[in-house]
Amino acid sequence: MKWYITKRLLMLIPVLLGVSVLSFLLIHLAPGDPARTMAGEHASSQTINAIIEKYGLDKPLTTQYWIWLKRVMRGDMGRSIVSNEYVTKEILDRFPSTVELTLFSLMIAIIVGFFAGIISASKQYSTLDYTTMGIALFGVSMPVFWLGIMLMMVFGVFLRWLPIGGRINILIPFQRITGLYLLDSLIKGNFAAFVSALRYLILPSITLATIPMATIARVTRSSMLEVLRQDYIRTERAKGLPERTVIYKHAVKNAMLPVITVIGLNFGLLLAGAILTETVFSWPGMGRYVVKAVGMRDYPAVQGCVLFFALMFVVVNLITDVLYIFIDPRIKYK
Amino acid sequence: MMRRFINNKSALFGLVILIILILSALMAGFIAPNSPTPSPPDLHNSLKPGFWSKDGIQGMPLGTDALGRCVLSRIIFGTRVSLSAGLVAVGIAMILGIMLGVIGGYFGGWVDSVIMRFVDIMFAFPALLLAIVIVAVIGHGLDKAMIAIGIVYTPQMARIIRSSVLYIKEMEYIEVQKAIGSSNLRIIFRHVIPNSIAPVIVYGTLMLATAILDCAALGFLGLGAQPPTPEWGAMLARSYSYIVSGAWWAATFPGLAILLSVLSLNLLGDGLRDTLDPRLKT
Repeated sequence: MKWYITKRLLMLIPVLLGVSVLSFLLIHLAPGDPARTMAGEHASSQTINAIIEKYGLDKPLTTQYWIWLKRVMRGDMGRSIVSNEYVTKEILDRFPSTVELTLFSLMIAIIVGFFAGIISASKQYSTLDYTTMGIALFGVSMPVFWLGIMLMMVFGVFLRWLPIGGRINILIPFQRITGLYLLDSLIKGNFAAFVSALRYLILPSITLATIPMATIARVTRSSMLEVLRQDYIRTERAKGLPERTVIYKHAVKNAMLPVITVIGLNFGLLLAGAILTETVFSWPGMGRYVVKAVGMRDYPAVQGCVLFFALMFVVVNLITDVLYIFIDPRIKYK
Repeated sequence: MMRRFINNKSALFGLVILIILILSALMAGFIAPNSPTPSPPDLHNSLKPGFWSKDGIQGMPLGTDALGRCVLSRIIFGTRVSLSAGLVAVGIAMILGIMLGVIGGYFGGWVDSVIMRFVDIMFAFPALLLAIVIVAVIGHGLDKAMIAIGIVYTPQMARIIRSSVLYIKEMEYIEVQKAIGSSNLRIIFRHVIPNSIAPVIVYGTLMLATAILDCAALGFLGLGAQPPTPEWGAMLARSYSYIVSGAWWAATFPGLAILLSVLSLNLLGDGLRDTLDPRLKT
């Protein structure tokens, strides 16, 4: 198993190199002169010369790449054209809020999706089954941004139950520690802040959770149906085990593998969905940051986001692959 | 096979909706009650409700948007924009994907390795993010959004084609062709591509659904279609801030149109898959 994980880690190297080359080339592929692109439109020729000097833009492309890669390895991705802050700092500021949103959504999606799938499968062809699968079908076809707007309209504007944008009520005193607001307020025992953060989190995370929830429900159902047809399930029923035990103790465990795969695969969708959800709900995360950066042609910021997103994505895929070994001992990796 | 498809009620339902959408795209000029982009804008009729309200505006059943334009007409013309954008994007993905997949699968060796490593790298990005990045490089606009989405979907297509080519090239009829001295090009175009096309159709349909969704998403983010193009995503983006003042219709209906077209393509794609390749049935 150690060997498998090592091999899997080694396989990451070419992918990460490719990703780095791609985001390095971003500035060079963009129309216009890279130095001017980095300096911003209204920069003086002095600034531009300084940038050419600093990043070695007069040297051959391969040399430039090495200079750039060394900088990035040290965590220096340049400064944003718009705010003149370090891109790394701006991304790290926003990273926790995206993590909080995606993890919370993933949790909702897994819990609801998984149970909906199990219930659907154990009552196959019932009205309940058809309804759940009907909803799931709508779920996978849903434009995330529209769903967000609709939820915002109903629960935020018409019913006024929940806030429609932001992360926390700014009037409530709150101290940022990890940047995960739910966690921070719990650490400090700040109950008011916890409730407020939760209220701000509900609509965006339901929005973001819908598509993965629907996919998880569909996959769980079909995987459960397959397991329920196996001989050992029939044996268990025959020896008189209660249906609950059959389903929750024996079938569910065996139906989990494809579900884990789909959760891993869905993570990419979740990140893409976060870009849209954050835009709809003015959620101050990386998704909104990258959209703004592209809109403003803030190339250093775009570059940083691309690297960061890709890194996150690759790491999650790695974790999913490694999880397999623990969950399904039948799979033997050489 | 045809009967199996017709018996699949949900697929048939998808097909019917799709036909309605295609017809309204083709005949938008005849069906739409008003012009989608009247000039100058009629600001007196800004955000007027439609048929459900006593104050509803005459001749504009779904009300008007912030610039006083007929929401229904813009949605009907938007069908044309969204369907063709999706088709072009999937077309690009198919052409590039078939090229890469056939070359990699048929010739194998280092060519295949290079192509597949490249595909792996593209898979390291969430699709929408990659599309956003490509748009950042080549510029904003509907045409560029279509190209970006086409490029983003290429690796998926390439993998699908490659796996069926790998299977087909071991078949006896290919061996026969080689034995009678057919050129590689002839084998590829006459035998390999035609026989690997079934999964392309199934995944192409499902891909068209996500392509329409992603195109609308780029439009919503302001990186795709630009005003005044009646594109569903862009329409949503320009009207959702008005829901706070109670004007829900301008943001609600374009989204419904997106949902309906994506849903119909998903139903159709699932149905086609069950018909053409029952082994994949879920």
